Amino acid sequence: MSVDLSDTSATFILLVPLAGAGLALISTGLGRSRSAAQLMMSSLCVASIAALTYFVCGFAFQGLPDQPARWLTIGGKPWSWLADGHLFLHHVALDGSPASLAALLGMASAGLAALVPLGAGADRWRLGACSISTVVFAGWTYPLFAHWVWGGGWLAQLGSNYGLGRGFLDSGGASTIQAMGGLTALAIAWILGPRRGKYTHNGMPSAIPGHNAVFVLFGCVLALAGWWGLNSSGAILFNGAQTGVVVRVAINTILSAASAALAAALVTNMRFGKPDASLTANGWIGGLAASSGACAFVEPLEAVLIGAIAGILVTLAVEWVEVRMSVDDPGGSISAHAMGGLWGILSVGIFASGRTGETTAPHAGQWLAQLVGIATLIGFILPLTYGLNWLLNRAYPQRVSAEGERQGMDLYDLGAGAYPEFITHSDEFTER
Amino acid sequence: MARAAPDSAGLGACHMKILGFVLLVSGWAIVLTAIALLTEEVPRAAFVLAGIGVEIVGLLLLIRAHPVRRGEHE
Repeated sequence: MSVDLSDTSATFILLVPLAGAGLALISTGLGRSRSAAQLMMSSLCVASIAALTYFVCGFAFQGLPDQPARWLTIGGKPWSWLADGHLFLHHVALDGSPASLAALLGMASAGLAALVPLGAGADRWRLGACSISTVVFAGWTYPLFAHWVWGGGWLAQLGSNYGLGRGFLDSGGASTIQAMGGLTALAIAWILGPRRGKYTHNGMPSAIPGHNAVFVLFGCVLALAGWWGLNSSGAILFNGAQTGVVVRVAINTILSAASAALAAALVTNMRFGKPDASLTANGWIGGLAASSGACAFVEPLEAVLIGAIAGILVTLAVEWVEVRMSVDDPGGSISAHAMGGLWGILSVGIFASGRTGETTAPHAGQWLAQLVGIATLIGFILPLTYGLNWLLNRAYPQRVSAEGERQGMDLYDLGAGAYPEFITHSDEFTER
Repeated sequence: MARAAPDSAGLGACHMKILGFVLLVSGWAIVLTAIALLTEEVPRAAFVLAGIGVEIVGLLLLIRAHPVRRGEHE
């Protein structure tokens, strides 16, 4: 029995929005109750704006391998830096062709990546500001890097141009979605600054617990279904995997998430005497983010190891970001997505060398190609996304006013709260 | 209304931030140059790692530049 690859990819792409729903629930649950409706509303607006912006120009800039692109010649080698497609998906046959499926996946992926910074900006990022920021992200930053990785750009060409393995590899979006979203979250958290009352005058962080652990943990379950879709469709569309690989991808994805969550629970149990629900959820998401890099190339036991390392890294990173970096990231987006994504990219070079294609021939230099991708994310994407959001902040302040933060984002932005029967407490604003 | 001049700590943090971003981009440029110009595996890998090292220094500078704003919103 033969299975049509386009049908299979389309089916899996339809699962991807569940990952967005999961992330929205996690960010909302880890934020304050008086900002819950605004955060869910922001998630819906961000996903909508990302889809529309990607439709207008995103796919035209991202493109696919073997499609028209803009080239630079460096040292006699062609470097493709931007696709030269048509706006509004013109000339894309919406009939199940690889281009149409890539466009559909791109719409969902751009929205998913744009949702990540919402967790870092929770309780203080204005609805209008995150909407404008999403236009820039989904219309320019995301498609630019996605072209380099998935659209036949210069990172994907590192293999053919310079003999670095098969070029930069990313099966399900560890770089294009997770690391991009996580680094944008870092830029946003830096620009917004911490929530009022988060840091004492001597610089020590205060705990502001999330308001709904049930949202957070249910979001993790939804995210798994979304990640199955993301990793499977990415492997088929961008790595030439056959449908049989989907089983390996799904098994590796859940093993990575499971081992990451358990590692996070163990680490928090050892450090604090009890397992921490929010950090375990962050570990789960970090394991999913890490799985996206190598899920199509590694064995299940290696996926367990990748996940366990991701769980430990994310748990330690959450504390490091809050205490050492003094960055207020209520949703743990920076640690889970940036740290998990970067580790996922590196894991391809460590575990998947020699198994990154149909053949089992070793691919020398794969690890170097992956390092070049990481260097590009930190050395180019982070300054780019910070600079663009800094400019936006100059034109349209991204942070809510002090009064708005005291009222809560629900009342300030929407005029009504998520839980109208609740009473707002003011003890977080007292001097510590 | 006249705008208050930035204090020396704020100015220092601003300079540190700019330097941090310059180092991030410089590290990336070193990585790209190594890939484009070097053909031997060992020197190429060494320069790529050196470029990433420069990026890490830039990142550390950025981290140090931002805690200065710690009390800004208190």
